[in-house]
Amino acid sequence: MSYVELHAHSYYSLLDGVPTPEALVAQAVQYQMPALALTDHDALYGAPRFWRAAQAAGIKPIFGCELTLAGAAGHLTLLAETQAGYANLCQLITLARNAQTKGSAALPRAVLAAHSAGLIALSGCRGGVLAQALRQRQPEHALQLAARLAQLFGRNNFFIELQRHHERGDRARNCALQTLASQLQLPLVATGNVHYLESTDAPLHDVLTCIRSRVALEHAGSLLRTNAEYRFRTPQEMAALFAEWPAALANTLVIAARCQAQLPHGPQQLPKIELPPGVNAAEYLTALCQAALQTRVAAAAAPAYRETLARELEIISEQQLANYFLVVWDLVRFARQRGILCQGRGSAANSLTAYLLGITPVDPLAAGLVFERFLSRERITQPDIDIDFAADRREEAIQYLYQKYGPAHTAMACTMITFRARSALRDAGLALGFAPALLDRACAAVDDYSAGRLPDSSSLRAAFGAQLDTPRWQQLLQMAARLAGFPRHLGLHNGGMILCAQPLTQHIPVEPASMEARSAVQWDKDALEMADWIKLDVLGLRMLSAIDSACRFVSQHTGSPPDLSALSFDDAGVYAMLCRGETIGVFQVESRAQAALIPKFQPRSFADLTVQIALIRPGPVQANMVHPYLRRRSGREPVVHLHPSLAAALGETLGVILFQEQVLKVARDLAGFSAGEGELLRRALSHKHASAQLETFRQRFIAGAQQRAVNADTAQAVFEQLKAFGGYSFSKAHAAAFAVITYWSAWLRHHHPLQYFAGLLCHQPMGFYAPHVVVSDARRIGVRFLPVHIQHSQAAVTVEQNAIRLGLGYVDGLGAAHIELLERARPFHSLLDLVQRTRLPRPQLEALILAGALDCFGERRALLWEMAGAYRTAQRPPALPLPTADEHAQLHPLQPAERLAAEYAATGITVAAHLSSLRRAAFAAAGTRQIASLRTLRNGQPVTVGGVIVTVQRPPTAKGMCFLALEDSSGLVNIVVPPQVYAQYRSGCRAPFALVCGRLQLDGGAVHVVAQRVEPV
Amino acid sequence: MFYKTRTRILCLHYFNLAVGLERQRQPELAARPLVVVRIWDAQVLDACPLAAAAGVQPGAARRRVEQLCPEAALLPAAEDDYQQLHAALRTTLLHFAGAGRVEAAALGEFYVDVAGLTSAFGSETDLAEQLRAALAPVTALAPAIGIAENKFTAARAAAAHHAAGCASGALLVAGGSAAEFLAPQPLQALPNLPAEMLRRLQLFGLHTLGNFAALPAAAVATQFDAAGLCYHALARGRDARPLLPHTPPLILRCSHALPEGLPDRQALHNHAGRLAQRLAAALQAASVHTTALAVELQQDTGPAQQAGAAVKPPCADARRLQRMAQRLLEQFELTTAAGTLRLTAYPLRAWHLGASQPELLPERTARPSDNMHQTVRALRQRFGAPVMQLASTLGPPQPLPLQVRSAPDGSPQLVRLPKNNGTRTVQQVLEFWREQRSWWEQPVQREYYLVEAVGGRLLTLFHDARAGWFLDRRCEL
Repeated sequence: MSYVELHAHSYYSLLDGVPTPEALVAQAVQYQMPALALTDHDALYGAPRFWRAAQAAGIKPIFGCELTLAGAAGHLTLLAETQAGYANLCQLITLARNAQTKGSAALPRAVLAAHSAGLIALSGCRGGVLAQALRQRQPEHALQLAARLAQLFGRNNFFIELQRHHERGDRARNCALQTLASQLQLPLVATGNVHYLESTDAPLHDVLTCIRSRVALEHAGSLLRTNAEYRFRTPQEMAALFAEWPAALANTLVIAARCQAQLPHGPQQLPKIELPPGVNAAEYLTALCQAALQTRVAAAAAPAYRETLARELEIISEQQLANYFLVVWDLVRFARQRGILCQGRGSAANSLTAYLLGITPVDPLAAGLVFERFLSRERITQPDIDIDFAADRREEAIQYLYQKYGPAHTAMACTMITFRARSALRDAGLALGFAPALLDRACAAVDDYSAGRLPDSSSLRAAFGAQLDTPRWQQLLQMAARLAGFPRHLGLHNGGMILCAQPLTQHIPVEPASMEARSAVQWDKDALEMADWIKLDVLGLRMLSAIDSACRFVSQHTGSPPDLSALSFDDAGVYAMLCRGETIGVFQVESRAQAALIPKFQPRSFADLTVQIALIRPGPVQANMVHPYLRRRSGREPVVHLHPSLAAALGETLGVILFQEQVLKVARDLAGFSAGEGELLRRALSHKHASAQLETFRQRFIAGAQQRAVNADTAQAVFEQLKAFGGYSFSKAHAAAFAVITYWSAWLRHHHPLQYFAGLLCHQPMGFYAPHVVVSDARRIGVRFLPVHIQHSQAAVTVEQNAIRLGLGYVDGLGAAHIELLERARPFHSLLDLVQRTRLPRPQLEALILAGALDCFGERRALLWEMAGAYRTAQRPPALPLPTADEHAQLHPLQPAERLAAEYAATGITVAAHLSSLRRAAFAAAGTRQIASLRTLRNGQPVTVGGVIVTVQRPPTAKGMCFLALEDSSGLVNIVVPPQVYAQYRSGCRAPFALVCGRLQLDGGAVHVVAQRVEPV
Repeated sequence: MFYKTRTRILCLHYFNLAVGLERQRQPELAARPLVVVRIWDAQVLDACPLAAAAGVQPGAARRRVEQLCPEAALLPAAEDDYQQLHAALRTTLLHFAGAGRVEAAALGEFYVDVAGLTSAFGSETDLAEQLRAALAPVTALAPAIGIAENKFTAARAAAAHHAAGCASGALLVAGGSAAEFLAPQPLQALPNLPAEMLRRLQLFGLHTLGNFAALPAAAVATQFDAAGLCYHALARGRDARPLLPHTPPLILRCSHALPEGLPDRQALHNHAGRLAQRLAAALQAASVHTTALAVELQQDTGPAQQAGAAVKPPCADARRLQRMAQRLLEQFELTTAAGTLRLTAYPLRAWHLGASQPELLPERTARPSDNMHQTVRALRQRFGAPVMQLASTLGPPQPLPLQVRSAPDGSPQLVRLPKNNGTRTVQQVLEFWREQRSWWEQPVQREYYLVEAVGGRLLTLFHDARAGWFLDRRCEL
């Protein structure tokens, strides 16, 4: 073998490389190369994928990068020879990214010396340090640079890099570099500087260049490469190109043989929290759990808990995760000490250890959960604990980690934002010179998600017709389709955090994030999982913030906040409220689908809530699990198990497989799988392309069942049931953890509605409904509201005189700075006084007037008129402070409907009356019924209702059906719009106010109207 | 002694001229709302009152029409016919009123200075009837006529006349009573009223011109500054705008007959290029820029094909129009049948409108030569070919075609230089490089050789994949 490619870019050289890491490896294998180096620009984003592909293909992965030096000094190609070299590579990349704008890098040359050990440096491409100096006709300077780099990296570790791409000046440059190498007795190496696999990929590379540089192709000029030679050449081609430099080719093999650096595999060593003297992490964890066991578990149940705890702690200890649990425990403890509402969610709620540590809220034994769903000996990936924090205080938790463990040991996971249909269409279109307005139209028309679908997009075809068949459009669509899945830019993972006992930069390069005081490792969550790194998800949940605010309001009223952790989930009044359908603002159960289910479902216990949360999901709906369950629950269908041994696992869900944990239990009870094996089966069921794996599991399942005296046909039928439902099942632990929050929110709504709705309104937008719907619902149960007031309103909603006072934050366009200005300057004596002392911008002042916040100064219309004069006076006070008669105008005051409309336009909320009152006359003329009265009518009766359309849903799985929620002052009703009606009354379904004529459908307590006409009003 | 002549302006407006013509042509559509849509940009040119009441406005997209007024019949605009009628009407008015007294404002809308003409006709009503009689042979459509002391009031009078179902006569607004006449009309009657000003007036509860006119001028100035005062004056029936007898034509059109047997698309592009040059010359002669360009190809087989695009910024530059026309032609299906190619520039504006300081030095270029090339390109787009004819003499010399005998590997061995400069034997190839660019429009694939000929002369040759061997006469900056 004559050649190894040591300079190759994947598409992780953002907008400068075309092939995936896997494609590069595949090509190297095809060329029979024993190794391949990946050298993306200033990054190791693709290192884990590259490593995995190389391992699978049996070739050696060499980790490197093309580093950008500061001061326009050019590029340097670095390859990690040793593990120390790999660490230095990560550190150099981190330093290069430090203090730079997002997406750029510039390494000060001075820091190279401290981080050169274990690295092999190549002098770079045409943009390399030496080539630049030679191009600028400074051979002496190039010589000095080369000597310095040789000294820095070592003579055996610095190679002069030769490249030939049939560009003008290649030969002269290579000859000059050879001369330089001879003078300094430095070795040569030939590289391909691969940016794409084939010449046919060169146009795509040009488009990427234009996207990166934000120019059209016709204006790109020298930004584009002059030919299509930056492809992955065969060793034979390289041999022909470098025939006069055979040593340069041979050295590629020498270098490849020397490079032995490995990808740092996880799990990483986590930072240790402070432990009591003489105690290690596992022992401390055990002690904490046992202490909690004493206080949280009744003595009678203790043996089962102790046994479960011992089993969990054994597995945790084997997998060396004790410290991980302690880190999470410490974070949650910090949050609770600060009064930040938080709780764990997801599969971690299956863990008794997590429960006893106070991380998760659900007793897993009482809830019938399975630890192995979270962690087992058989599990091949690291566990992941997700913690929800009150959204407005999540940053405190994140900064606590940064401060406690140090910024060198703490970072967030990145996320790679990739091209989708619209972004690909727009960016490729701009590069190809399409007019922005035309691209806007195209992007508005397209409803495909993946860019790969663009050439066959029916939505684009509907918008543009035969125009799409022209060569230019076809060029655009094909080019945009090729961008599918390409990384576009780097983002920050929502909450994934990485901790490491060693400085992170020894293992993964770290970049500063756009957000202040944040940094991100260069691996996304998939890369971290591939490399087996542990992360911790620090997530924000607005409902927790709303609950927290509600509790504070209760505390203001009663003197102490309610102790939610002491609630016992058995308040009949709470369940009765839910069963009446009063669910707006209640976590996870307020959607129209949930509202339609509740009257039939009638939840009466915590277990019911858990089922309800898991049931209304796309998966169970699609897999037709919902109706069988409801039929069995209502007794209309018998509960039948395919085998008696399934009763224990499926009894709680009446024979329907709803929870992921039930897959584990069925596999255990029927086929003797261990819980860990059951979890592997569960994962295979949820993977679309695991058919080979599933077949293996099927055979084992049937064999195991037969060993337990279950006949093969029954076993086969059960396995088919697992296949049909298992892939769509939901984690019970996750549902149960959420059910806790659901219960808390319902409890607060039931017992402290005023404070609860105030809490909800403090943290909008959230939930399923717009704020005005939340307000209307609150008014229906007697909650009073006070409008925005310039003298009394705070930024956020407050509770005042047994009513909810809307905050200044609800006024359209009023930002935090404006609000602070108003709060500092008030009280105000007049409009003029306000303008003079704050100089609030006109749009914001107009919004305040329209919202009614300045009603204390006069009639709104008169104030609007006075506004212009006030600004003029504030700028240039007149000699005599008297308005002239000529500046007065006789204006009619706003009528009540106009006031209501103005208030809604300015705040999104109406306090005085329901929005539907704006169309009262039209509804009355049409003879509409009050929505609240519908349940008193008979099923199938023709009805006409009118109101505000508050939600419109057309789920892709609903076969063209449209679901509206219509609200009047008395309540909400679901409107079901069949496809043919939607096609005819599309504008009505999208109008703010609508008149719906149809037939009433009463179904087990649920009320729907099946629309025959939907007309805008 | 000087007499102040009393100003009297007649507004003659064929409302919905396009719709009216189409209804005449297709009476079977009488019962349906009618919307005329321009083919090349699928935008509404004209909408009947029913469609307008449903929210369809000129300039709206076709899809919007389908949403707002699904029962409307959408007809392709026959712009030739509308322009011909408009021109004929203008000619008749010129004959009627005399040169210098007629302003063609928009399609089917004219202003005529009739001050002093009444004496010839007896009364303004008689004048209007005579005018109708003069126009009747031109078109059976009935115009609305309004006569008032200024253009705005006359236009509103015509609109009121039209709303009243005009069949004869005119709506006369006596001198001094413009304000009273305008008072009940909506604010939207004010021409090009800024949306923000309309919004604020409505916020103040003002919905009619009378409401607005009733405001003290000082108050209007305080609220809306000078622009508001102009509209305030209009609302009060005061319009000082003079009649403009010399306005740019609504469109300019050039067409060219295509022979049968058009070999390929390139030939069509060549025709389009020549047409674009003619059109640009016509624009420059009229001192106007075009804001849109439409291309129509009508071949003997198949339906007419149209495409168009806005020209931003407006220009009269031949190369830009040529490139636009060629891009638009890419959308067409081409056959070998004979036909007609037509370019239309419209609507037109005076060249100085919208002028701004151009950005001459673009960003993001690496080399001085690139800066120069891009600056030249920017100047060309802004100021047209005449400027660039001067600049092009500074451009690189054109490559010269050569005869070359090449070796099996493609490298040149023997070169016959042009212009009797003799034959040179290549002693050695000093350098080879390859260029592959402009794949998105006209791909360039060239292989360059820097050779040393016998005798020491250095030559740069290239082989173009389509055009053969050339001598490259550029020198590096």
